[in-house]
Amino acid sequence: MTFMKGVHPIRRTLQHLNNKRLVLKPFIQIFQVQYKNGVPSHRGAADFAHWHLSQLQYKNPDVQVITYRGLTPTPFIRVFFSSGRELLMDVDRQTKDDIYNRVVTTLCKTEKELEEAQKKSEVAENPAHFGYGCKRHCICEIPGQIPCPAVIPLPYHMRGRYRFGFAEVDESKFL
Amino acid sequence: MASTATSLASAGLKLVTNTGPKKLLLGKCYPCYVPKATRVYVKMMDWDDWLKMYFVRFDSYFTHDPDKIAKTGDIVLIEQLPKRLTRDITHQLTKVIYPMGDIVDPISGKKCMGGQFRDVEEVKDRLWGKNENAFDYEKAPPRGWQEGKKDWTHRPGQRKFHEFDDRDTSHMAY
Repeated sequence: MTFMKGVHPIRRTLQHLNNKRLVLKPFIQIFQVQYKNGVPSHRGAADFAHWHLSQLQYKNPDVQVITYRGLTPTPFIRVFFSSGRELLMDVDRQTKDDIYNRVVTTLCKTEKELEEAQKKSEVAENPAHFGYGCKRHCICEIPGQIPCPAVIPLPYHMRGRYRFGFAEVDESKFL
Repeated sequence: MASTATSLASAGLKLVTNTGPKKLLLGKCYPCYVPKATRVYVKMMDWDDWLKMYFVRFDSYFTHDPDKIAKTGDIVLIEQLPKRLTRDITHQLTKVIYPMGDIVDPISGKKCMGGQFRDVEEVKDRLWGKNENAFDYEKAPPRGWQEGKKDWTHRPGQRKFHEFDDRDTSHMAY
């Protein structure tokens, strides 16, 4: 955890930021929160902005996430869609968790949509792939390729130290 | 929107709706001397991968606003134009969301002042006793009545780097 200073620096960990549920629908362009500091009925909106707004921006880098403070006496969340329409959410006297659940159910992608998106991006799905996160770790595991040099040494003409004269083949071994 | 269409048409562009997802942004208006345009400062967030933190960055856009519906300080919604109008104008001003000094609470529809409803403030004033010379929202003229008399933000600003005694004449004096 880097930069462990300030209020609740846990918000600056990838574990906290990688909130898979806060992926907004693709037609959402702007996510605006408005609240006032110090007012008890605005506490939920302030806490939601404190804990979840960085997650929202992290999972949705193309969405403009902004906060306005002290414009009106009622806290609200205003979302602008690419069609030009907007959605208004009155969050007066609601707790942070209520607002979070509301945002997730109305504005975010469903679990099914997220699963489908994840499947598409998964590298291990393609059986021809090899490497980190795949079924086969190295090209040496693929049939038809050269076996692993850790198990069977490569022939001399494929080894750099013999090719470029840093070592000489000891022919007495073959006699 | 109709005037935007006609003004764009005169520049050889068509206002086409439903051309796919439009890039919308919310920003604050700043003084702009470009005619038929408004300068909008949009607050964006820059991600720092090491600190895992977001830092504020302000992007400035010149937006097409032929009727000058937005004034300095208003929070407006801007939309990216399909093709830039001039070298500077890349966006168009769609709507004024929160006009400065005249904010309307979107949920109740009531006018606000300083983060509180105007009628609540009036009740407070009545209890404390309102000054005769105090600002009256109902009697006050609309914003912009001092433009040309005392408000010069629509003119390009002067930047003076040095005071020359032989050149700077008395028209600079107050």
